[in-house]
Amino acid sequence: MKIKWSRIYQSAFFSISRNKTRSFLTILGVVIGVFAVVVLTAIGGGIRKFIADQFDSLGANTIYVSPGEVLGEDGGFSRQAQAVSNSQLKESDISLILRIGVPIKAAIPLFQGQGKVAANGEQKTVSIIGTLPDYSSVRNTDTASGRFFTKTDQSAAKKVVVLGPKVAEEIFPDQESVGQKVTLNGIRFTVIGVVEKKGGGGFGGPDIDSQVYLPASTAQNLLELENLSTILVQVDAQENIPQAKEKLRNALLKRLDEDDFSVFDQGELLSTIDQIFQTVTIALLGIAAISLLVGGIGIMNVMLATVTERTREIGLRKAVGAKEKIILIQFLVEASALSLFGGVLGIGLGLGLALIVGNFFPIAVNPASVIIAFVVSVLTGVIFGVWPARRAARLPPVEALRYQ
Amino acid sequence: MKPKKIIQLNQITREYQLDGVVVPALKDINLEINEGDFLAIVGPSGSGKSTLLHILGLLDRHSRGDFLFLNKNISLLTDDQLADLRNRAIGFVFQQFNLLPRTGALENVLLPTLYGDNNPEEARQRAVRLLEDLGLGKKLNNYSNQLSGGQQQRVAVARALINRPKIIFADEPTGNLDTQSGKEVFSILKNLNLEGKTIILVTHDSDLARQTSRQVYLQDGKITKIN
Ligand SMILES: Nc1ncnc2c1ncn2[C@@H]1O[C@H](COP(=O)(O)OP(=O)(O)OP(=O)(O)O)[C@@H](O)[C@H]1O
Ligand SMILES: [Mg+2]
Repeated sequence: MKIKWSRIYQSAFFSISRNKTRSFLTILGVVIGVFAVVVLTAIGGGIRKFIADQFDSLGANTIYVSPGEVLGEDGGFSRQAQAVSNSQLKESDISLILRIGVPIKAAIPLFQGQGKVAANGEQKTVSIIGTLPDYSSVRNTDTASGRFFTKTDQSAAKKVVVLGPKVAEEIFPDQESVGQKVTLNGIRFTVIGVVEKKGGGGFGGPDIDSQVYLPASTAQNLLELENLSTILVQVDAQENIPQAKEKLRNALLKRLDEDDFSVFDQGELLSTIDQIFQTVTIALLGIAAISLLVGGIGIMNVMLATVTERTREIGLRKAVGAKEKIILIQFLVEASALSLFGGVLGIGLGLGLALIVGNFFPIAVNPASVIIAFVVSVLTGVIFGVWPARRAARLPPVEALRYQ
Repeated sequence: MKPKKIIQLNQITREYQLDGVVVPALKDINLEINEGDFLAIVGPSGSGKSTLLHILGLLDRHSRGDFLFLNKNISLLTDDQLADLRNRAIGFVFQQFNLLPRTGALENVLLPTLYGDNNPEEARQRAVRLLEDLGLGKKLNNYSNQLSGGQQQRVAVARALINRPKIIFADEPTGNLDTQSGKEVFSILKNLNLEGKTIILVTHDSDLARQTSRQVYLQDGKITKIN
């Protein structure tokens, strides 16, 4: 006998819409589970993408040499503050690195620290980066107005500063900042340029737009640093990064201990960040699984009630010739239709919220997570519908008809 | 010409298990039913009328004895085969009507066609004609709660007839109806019998039983008299 699917769908839809409030309450667990998966993976993916973009904007062919161990053996970030203050990296290491030659194109020292920029009655905490004029080209950091500092500024240790766009906006909201005087940690500086906006900041990646740039010599004096905070090494092509890292390590090991420095690239940083996200994702999936489980039990509960409520109907259908299999399918379809509605509603709400949140927060909807959430929600209905459906299917027709 | 035998019961017993105690509801029933019979099953409440009807209608299985239905040994058939037989050869009319709620009269009549091989369009036309013949041509889409008891029972009769069964089983079909509607439903059954359908009717009403061609009297699960 052919199964009349359209009538089965019709009947499932009818039975669900007959009791709208109860159906809605039943699917709430599934809705929340699916909603959570869609929204949280979208936010997680957004943050991850944001961080990756930040690193990208800094130039893909860059290797970082930092004091101490940055990435722990097990992949996570290790304590760094102490290592930075005890840095063993010296300016002479720059020439050591440059002597390696191909594939290394440039090596730039960074002196880094925190500071307060003040002027105009405004004040802002900033990251200070002391570096060489080449920084601008290595890091794709162009000035939007004014200029980056020059070799002359560097050799004379001039008190000039290039502001990040956010700093300029906050300190000089309605005026041109180039040419203005500011104090940096209490010392007067002249603003000679403002760099272009890179965007973002605040989700684990560096807040690039809130940095200020000084000539290396000036920064060294201001921050009272003897040694370098970081060396940026530019490589000619991305595929040469592993080779360059190996050469760098060997060159530095001639002068330094293994524990005194780390060599890493953004690929490594990203994979470390990915590991963290993976852990978070697993935790999220656990939460989603629990809420789907609760949702599934809700569906099972309601389906059992439905089967009891409709005992006479089941008996009648069997009396006029419905076989066990058809009754089973009918109730399974009904259970999975419930969870399907829940899944669709959850996805809809999730995408809606992601769309709204996307206006002021990085969001990346992962189509795979949406599809998986959908499939799992439908499966929830099927799995938790099996027991009630079998119960319905096995009701002897006579008992079903005698049921009061 | 000798009438065709369609049902034969030999020493049929039906027992229920109640808290481990075996309670017989039917004992040693011997009965033959021929095509074209209009048989009334009569007896006091609890005598086993419905139990017998359910066994005859393949809704329930007997505990012991031999049961031939259209020459098939029922004990050897699977539940699915019984479902098929019910679908094709049997129509039921119940005391409680048993129409699906919030479902139109026409859809209710079409219910048995969902579970067999039917041409949907042809089935629909047949259902409309049946309802028209039963005076419900204007009520095709009425829900059961928008029909009187008599009208609901006529929808149930149409549903019983939709697959052109050989036999109609009716368990107190007039029990929930006022006298007038009861008379109407009974005369519908009577006409169906005149058209050749075999009708098996459970009833309390000895007036009705007198108008059928045969009567089986039950008491305490036993047949006391067959006409
Ligand atoms: N599922 C069951 N379990 C146990 N006993 C049952 C069951 N169904 C029926 N019986 C018993 O079988 C006997 C016959 O019941 P049945 O329903 O056939 O009576 P009836 O003649 O149709 O009565 P009524 O005229 O009141 O409908 C009764 O004693 C009843 O209690
Ligand atoms: Mg009865």
